[in-house]
Amino acid sequence: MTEVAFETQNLGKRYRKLWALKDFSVALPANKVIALVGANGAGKSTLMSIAAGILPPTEGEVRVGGRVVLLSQDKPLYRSFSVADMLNFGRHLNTVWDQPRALSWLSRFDIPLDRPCGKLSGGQQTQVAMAVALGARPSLLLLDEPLANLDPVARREVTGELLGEVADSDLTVVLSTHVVAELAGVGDHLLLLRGGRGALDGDVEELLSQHTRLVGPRADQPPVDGQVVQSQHTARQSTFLVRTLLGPETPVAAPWQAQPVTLEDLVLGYLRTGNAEGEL
Amino acid sequence: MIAFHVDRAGSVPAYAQLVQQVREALRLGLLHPGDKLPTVREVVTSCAVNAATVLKAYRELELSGLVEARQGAGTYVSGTLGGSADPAAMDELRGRLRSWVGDARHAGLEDDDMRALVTSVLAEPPGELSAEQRAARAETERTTQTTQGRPSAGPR
Amino acid sequence: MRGLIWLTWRQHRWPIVISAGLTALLAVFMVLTASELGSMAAHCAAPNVRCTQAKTESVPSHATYLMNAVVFLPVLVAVFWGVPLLAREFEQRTLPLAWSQDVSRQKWLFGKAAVMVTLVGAMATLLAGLSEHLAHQYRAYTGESLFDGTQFQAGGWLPLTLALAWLAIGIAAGAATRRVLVSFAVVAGVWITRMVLMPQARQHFAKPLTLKFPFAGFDDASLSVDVGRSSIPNDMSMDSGSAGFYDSHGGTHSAAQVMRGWCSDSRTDIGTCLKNHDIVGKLSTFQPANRMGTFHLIENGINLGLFALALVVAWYCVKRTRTTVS
Repeated sequence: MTEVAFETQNLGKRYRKLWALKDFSVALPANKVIALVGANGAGKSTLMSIAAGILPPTEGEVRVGGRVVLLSQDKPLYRSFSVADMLNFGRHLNTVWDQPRALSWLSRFDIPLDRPCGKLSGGQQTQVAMAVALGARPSLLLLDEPLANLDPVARREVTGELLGEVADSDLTVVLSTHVVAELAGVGDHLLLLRGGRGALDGDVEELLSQHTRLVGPRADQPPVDGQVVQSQHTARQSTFLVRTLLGPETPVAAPWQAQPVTLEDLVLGYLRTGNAEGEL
Repeated sequence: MIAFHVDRAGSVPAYAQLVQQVREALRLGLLHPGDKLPTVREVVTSCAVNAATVLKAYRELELSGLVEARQGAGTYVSGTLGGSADPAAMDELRGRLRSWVGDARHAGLEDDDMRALVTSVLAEPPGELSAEQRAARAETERTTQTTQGRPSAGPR
Repeated sequence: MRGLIWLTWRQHRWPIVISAGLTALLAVFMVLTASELGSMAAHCAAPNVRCTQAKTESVPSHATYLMNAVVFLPVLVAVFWGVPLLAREFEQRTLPLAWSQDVSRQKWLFGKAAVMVTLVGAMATLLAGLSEHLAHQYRAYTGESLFDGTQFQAGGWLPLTLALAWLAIGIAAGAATRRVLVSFAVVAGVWITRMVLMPQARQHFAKPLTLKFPFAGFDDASLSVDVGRSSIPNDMSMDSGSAGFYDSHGGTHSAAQVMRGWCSDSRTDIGTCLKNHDIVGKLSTFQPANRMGTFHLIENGINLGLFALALVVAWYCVKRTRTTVS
């Protein structure tokens, strides 16, 4: 049995009349990178805030094993503090503090310790915020699109170092992002939210091996049994994204073809379905 | 030491790309038995892929006998691929492929057409050989036998 | 707590340093001025010496400035210590950072407030003690009442409780408005309201006494010279030029009635006019000197009540703040 880092039971959060999260139950495995995806307003930030304990749920239960740190998109820092003072801040306000870990993170990205945070570039500020977050030795690190304003090279570097931290320790990372294409190989586990509910939840490899794209002549139904996630039709051709036990290994009769799908195909397929439902 | 890179745009899974790159390096002679592969941590940080992906790739390489994990010391290359096959045979095959490519160009094929052709031939079931293939195979065996006597001319 | 002491110092070190410097500077000036006033008073008390003892001389007027400064400092405490504690964090969106560490919001707020209360309290205690001393020396030289305006506010540890109250009011304003400039406006508004209303309210902490002061002679009847007053030197006068008059039958008449009604004709001498209307003396309304301690106690109580109320408001605002975007 894998350990559970974060667990919810029938979790719900209502803002006035609107349910941002409803009847949401999930158990996320520990020491993994969990990719949290969903359209804007799907409940990603709400879920993370509840997990971090800064937002009380309207109903349901949350269980978190250990220390939680949430790093949000605006990555607040004290502008007048030097980088070294930001680390002092972390050391003084936390019961657990790992100064070498924070320092080594900063040195990997050549962040000057004596510069005031307000005078750092956006990317450098992200690194300082990450260093403070990691120094607090969280067992669950929630990243709410904190890398959004980094350039692609820096984003890759940070992701790499972050994955290194996961490999080195018992850290679990929940990574929420818009950039689905960059999740390939990054996320171990996928959690897809749609309209405040969990739409897809599972090990990435497992999910990929259970989904296939079937391409063939125009048809209303795919030639195999399974859950149709998405279907597209042209005058002569039909394409189905189907969830079946064997995935791309599903035997299909010619002229149908069963193709493997990428993580991006999978995520976009599920998100588009949500849109279609929303429009009806 | 091999430097991995992961292309996120393509449809090949990240772990499969890592496996492919090791195989390619073995074929091209960039990796030799006894060479050390990067540690999981190094691949994770340099390519920004998760540890499970790297472990899966290394496990697959291990299962196919190309690498071996030494307890606490890392992962080392232990097997070989085509690249370390008889160099003379490799040279011979390369020369014939070169002339084949010349013929194809002459026939008006583009690079992509040739790739598609190769892929489709590779995908054919290894069943009964056609008369032409048999002739070609016999030819190959004969030339290979004759070249064995000569010292290797091509660079290794 | 050590962490919060460090954090408060790191975030507010400039107000702390500048306030400490200003406190030291004021303290030195107050000690010097008080000792100067003291020796001037001693000099005048000696026989065969004639002193004017006017409060417009340079040393007593310095003393007035210093006492006014101490009375005014609390509003600066509100602006430079209290308001930034929360409003600046709201503006710079740093509260999610502060509140996502291992220190709870409650501990964070009251811990930082406690550090500030300690520092402001220490500085204000020094200044309040010195200003009380200065007020006494000022009275010794000029004979002004300790129960009056500035001297009253400079004494009885009022500067201390006032500073604490306004520190808390600044914190609460920052918590409620979440904007530094808006908080400044709120603080300024409340301060001006207090400046206007408090002297009025203070006069009614207890029912004032009204005494009759007979004119010694009609020559003395001019309103600027108040004959009988020297017998009650340390009270809080509430006449402010509008005290009434009484006649030989004991009937009282308001100042307006007498001065603007009967004696408005400038051709008639005022003394004659009063005599014609049988006015024999002046009324005086005041709070007697022996009530000063009680009055200080009441006002200190009000200040401490405001202090507690403001902290509760700040805590309420902090508690219901959502640090997330919905």
